[in-house]
Amino acid sequence: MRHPIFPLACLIPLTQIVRDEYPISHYPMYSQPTTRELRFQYVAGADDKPLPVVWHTGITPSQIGKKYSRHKAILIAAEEKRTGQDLDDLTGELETKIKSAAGTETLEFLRKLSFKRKADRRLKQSIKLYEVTLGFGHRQFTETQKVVAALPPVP
Amino acid sequence: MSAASATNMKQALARWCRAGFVPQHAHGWEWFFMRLFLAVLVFYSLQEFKPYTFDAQPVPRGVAHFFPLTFLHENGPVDFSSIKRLEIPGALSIRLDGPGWYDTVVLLAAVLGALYVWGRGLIVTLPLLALLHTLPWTYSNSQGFTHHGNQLISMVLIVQAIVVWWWQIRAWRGKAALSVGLAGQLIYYSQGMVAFSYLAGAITKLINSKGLWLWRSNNICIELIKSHRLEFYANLDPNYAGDPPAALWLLNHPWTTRLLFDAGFFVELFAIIALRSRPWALLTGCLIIAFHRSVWLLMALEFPMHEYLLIIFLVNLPYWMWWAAKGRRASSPTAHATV
Repeated sequence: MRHPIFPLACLIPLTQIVRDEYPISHYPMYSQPTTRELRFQYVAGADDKPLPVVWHTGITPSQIGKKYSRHKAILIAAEEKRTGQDLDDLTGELETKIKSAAGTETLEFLRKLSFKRKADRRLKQSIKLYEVTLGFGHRQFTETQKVVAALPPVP
Repeated sequence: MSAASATNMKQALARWCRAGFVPQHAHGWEWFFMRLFLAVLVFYSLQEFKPYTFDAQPVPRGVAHFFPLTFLHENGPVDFSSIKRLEIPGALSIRLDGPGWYDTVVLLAAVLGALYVWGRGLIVTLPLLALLHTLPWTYSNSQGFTHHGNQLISMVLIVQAIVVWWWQIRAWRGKAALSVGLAGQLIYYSQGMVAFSYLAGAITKLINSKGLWLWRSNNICIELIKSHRLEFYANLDPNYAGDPPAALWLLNHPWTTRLLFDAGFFVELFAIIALRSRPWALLTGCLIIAFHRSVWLLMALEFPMHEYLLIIFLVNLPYWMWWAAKGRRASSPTAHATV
């Protein structure tokens, strides 16, 4: 007879095979600590001041980042298929184009969600998606940010 | 170390393992409190109407691969718009009215939760409760962003449903009764589900970092800045404006940083020691909660549902209160649970 712990031990290979399919997860958070740059996104208004995006949409900046990365990955895969090239490191005009398209899709999703909330929470104004890049400097962190996408105001 | 002492240590470890890591007898009231607390937790975690605001599932996850969950966005059969909230000032505030199927799910959670606490018909109640908790959070995770805060509750419910069905099938097949009853089995596998999820996280760290996690863990200090910023940009809370002072200190003290984060890694890796016995479950539960609290202090990142599950199944306060009061002089517990 198998030990009672055996069915539980089966969870480990299961989580590694299935990975992230709710409710199963292999819990990948912070599993790849490296010295590479980190990126995240936030939403700002026309005046470039950040907006309290959870209040407007119910979605956190962390979730916005995942949504944006997902769109970006789909666009990169399509481009790789079209050109037959490996696009591990996006640069130049193509980077701007892909990030802009992924960012626009993300902003449209956020605006749509905000319109399901109370009237004062709706993102009618011009909105921008900022990308922040964090890196390691000499005994300090470096931080730069730029706009990757913007949406015009709506009535 | 000589070969003889290594052999002795190995034998001692084997004896230590053999003396535990199996289901234990449980008190009926102990299992009742666990059901009560878990039912409240399930209800509380379903007091969130965000999953019902999405009108599509662009990145299906889990069961959403097999059938669309977009119906959750549409009007459900129950409508509490005339009541809105159930409130007892200063004590209780339950949101009853929300978008889509929210109202229906809240009502079903209350009914199934009550049946679960009652403890009869678990063979039907548990799968339904597990399904009810899984659907909205699967739909939420099918939006292109993953949130890992609720799935352990779903998994504990699913594991409990599997255990009651396994127990029933054994009975139908006329197999001999096990020495530990159903309550003890349910507690053991619930504890195991919680503990093994931490082990899964530790193994993922080793795999994804190609075994270098312990060495590279000092780089997590940059995540403190990121999580602080994300917290700020969420609601523009001035408490999160600027840099967390700990981040720069950790950057400039890499060995201390490794020591801190690696300690957390080992807490995850050895979480399954909780299954050894009740005292080990208590100790492991407290250590993992301390680990979560330290992550909260450093990174403003928390997993409250995980912590509640640790309190319910590993810390198990009702048992230790009973033990402190008179349990040390009492005989071994036996619980009666039915499917």
